[in-house]
Amino acid sequence: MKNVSLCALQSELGPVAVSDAELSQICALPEQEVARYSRGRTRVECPDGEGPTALAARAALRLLSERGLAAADLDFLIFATNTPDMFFPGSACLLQNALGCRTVGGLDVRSQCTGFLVALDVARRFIATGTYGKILVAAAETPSHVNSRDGRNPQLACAMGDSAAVALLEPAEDDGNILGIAVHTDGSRAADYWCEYPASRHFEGPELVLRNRLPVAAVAAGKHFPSSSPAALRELALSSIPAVFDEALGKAGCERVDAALIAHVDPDVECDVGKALGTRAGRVIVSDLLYSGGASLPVLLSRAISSGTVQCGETVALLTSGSGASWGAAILRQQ
Amino acid sequence: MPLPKRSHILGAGSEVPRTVVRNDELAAVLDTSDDWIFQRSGIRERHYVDDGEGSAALAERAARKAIAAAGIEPRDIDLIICGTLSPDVDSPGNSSFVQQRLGLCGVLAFDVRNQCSSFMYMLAIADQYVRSGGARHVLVIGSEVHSTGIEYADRSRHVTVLFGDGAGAVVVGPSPDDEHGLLTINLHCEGAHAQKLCLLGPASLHKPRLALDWTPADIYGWPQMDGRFVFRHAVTRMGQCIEEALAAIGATKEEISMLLPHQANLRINQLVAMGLGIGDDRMANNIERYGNTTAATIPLLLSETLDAGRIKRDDLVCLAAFGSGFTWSAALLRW
Repeated sequence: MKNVSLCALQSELGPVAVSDAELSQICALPEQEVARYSRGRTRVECPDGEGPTALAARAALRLLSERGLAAADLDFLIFATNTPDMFFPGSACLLQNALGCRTVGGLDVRSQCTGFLVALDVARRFIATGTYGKILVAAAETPSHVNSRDGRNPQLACAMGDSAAVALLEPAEDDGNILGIAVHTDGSRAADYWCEYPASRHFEGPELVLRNRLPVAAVAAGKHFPSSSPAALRELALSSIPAVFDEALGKAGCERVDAALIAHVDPDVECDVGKALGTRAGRVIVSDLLYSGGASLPVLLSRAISSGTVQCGETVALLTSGSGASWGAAILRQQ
Repeated sequence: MPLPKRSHILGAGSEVPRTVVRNDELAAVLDTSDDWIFQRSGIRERHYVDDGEGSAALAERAARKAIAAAGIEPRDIDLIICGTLSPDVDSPGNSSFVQQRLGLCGVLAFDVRNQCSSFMYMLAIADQYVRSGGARHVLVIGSEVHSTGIEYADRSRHVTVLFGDGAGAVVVGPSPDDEHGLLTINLHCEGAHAQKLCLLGPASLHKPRLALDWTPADIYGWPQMDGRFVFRHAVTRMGQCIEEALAAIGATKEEISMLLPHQANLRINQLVAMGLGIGDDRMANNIERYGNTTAATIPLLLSETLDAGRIKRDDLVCLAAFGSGFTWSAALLRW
């Protein structure tokens, strides 16, 4: 097996900043309620017509330019998003076209909040077996296009923003820097953070024309908006993240890390998880931006590297939990 | 334990819903006929789910048969990958629900969204996990419930008549020796033609992704296809990627014992086979009875072809797919 290096990372934020005061007008929610969920973090959004592929493509072009690479140098693309540009096809195909890649494989992975961790795990295995050389992993979300804006499901409406990150993986000449990854799923908790419609199992009546997975009544009732149970998501994070951190440390053969980067839709939960991890987690780093689903962790790491919060040679843990339910950890060494 | 050099398909299973819908039943609600559909696609009938039966339910039943065929127990599965473009709910993906149905909560489970090529992408991922030691037994399932997501209106008849509901599953595990199993697989995409076969919404290019006053009169919520364009590209690309796979292992098209192509259109498959010099004795199709079941076609066809005794030990089996994205892929397995 070849060793694998995550050798470059870039992030891109939605271009429109939306304040709590502005969102309270849009969503008809009191400003203090918006602030209760956002905790003073910055909210960035994409306008109509700009989806996750546009964000990921901007980050990718910057990454390629910085590395002196052309799109034709990429051997495989993996796109993790829960908010694709189209219902189908997936966003990896759109990214292939946006970047002008060869007709290499473009894989779309759906693992919600742990999307980046799963994509990273899949990518490193394609390289470890010698199947591919350079793989671009994109994680991008535009939850502001999906979440309700009418006061329903206030946690999701208030606590999320749009962003993307791309990572370049390639065979390492040394030991590599992806030290361990662990991700788990518990489908019995799926309804703790889900979006019910369109629902292929839905059925209005026996006649063919009543087979409609997106009935008008469901749309009118807002069932095509994601909903969450804040208490259940908090409980999941506090019970699962410390355990999966331990598991990933074990896989990495590490006793501790220099810094733990935690992403969760509830900023208070990030702090409480950080405390629960103890000294093995080193410094706890959380975002100044609102949560962006599966894109949160790579955006946080990219910004922490750019700002010097994470230094060369340091080991970091990426930790998250959320929809699926899923939770996971990756231990990396910054090169 | 040393890592296996090759992975192999250890067992396959399939499931279709009970209700059969013949062409003339569609002709009762659409401006079409049995002859019109059969001439263009080779389809006579397809299966539709009953009320409340989603793609996760079909997936579970196909999975249980595949697990039994592999001679293992559900608890031996350590990774679940589900492919569908018609999931039970919008989010999370079907893997969460299939996992729960199989009693495997805690195991890593994620979804792949690569449309008609989903099974091929999943097979490649499963191969990576097995060969890199990430999993021993990977459950790979393609399942679709199209009958609740196609428009029963004349403007969509060229799409609607093609699709059916069904599921197919395989267990991928270590090959008992180095000679048998998955010999090669290639993966491709070309996003320039994404809108030639697509479902635009609801999806997050737009803000909001679905207007509250959306009605089924808006094509945005229904699949769209430029049939001739897709047909032409399918014939070309499937032929190309099969040649690529043969070249990768130094084999000739005469050595293919059995071609199992994606079941989108019998006329596409006949042209692909003709280009390779493969007669009916070396190709399997079942689209006549099931229509296009997208992510499920190849495992459904493989399961039936194995059950019919048409694949024997040491046979060179070729799998190939093409579809929305565009995405395409071919694989060769020594059985």
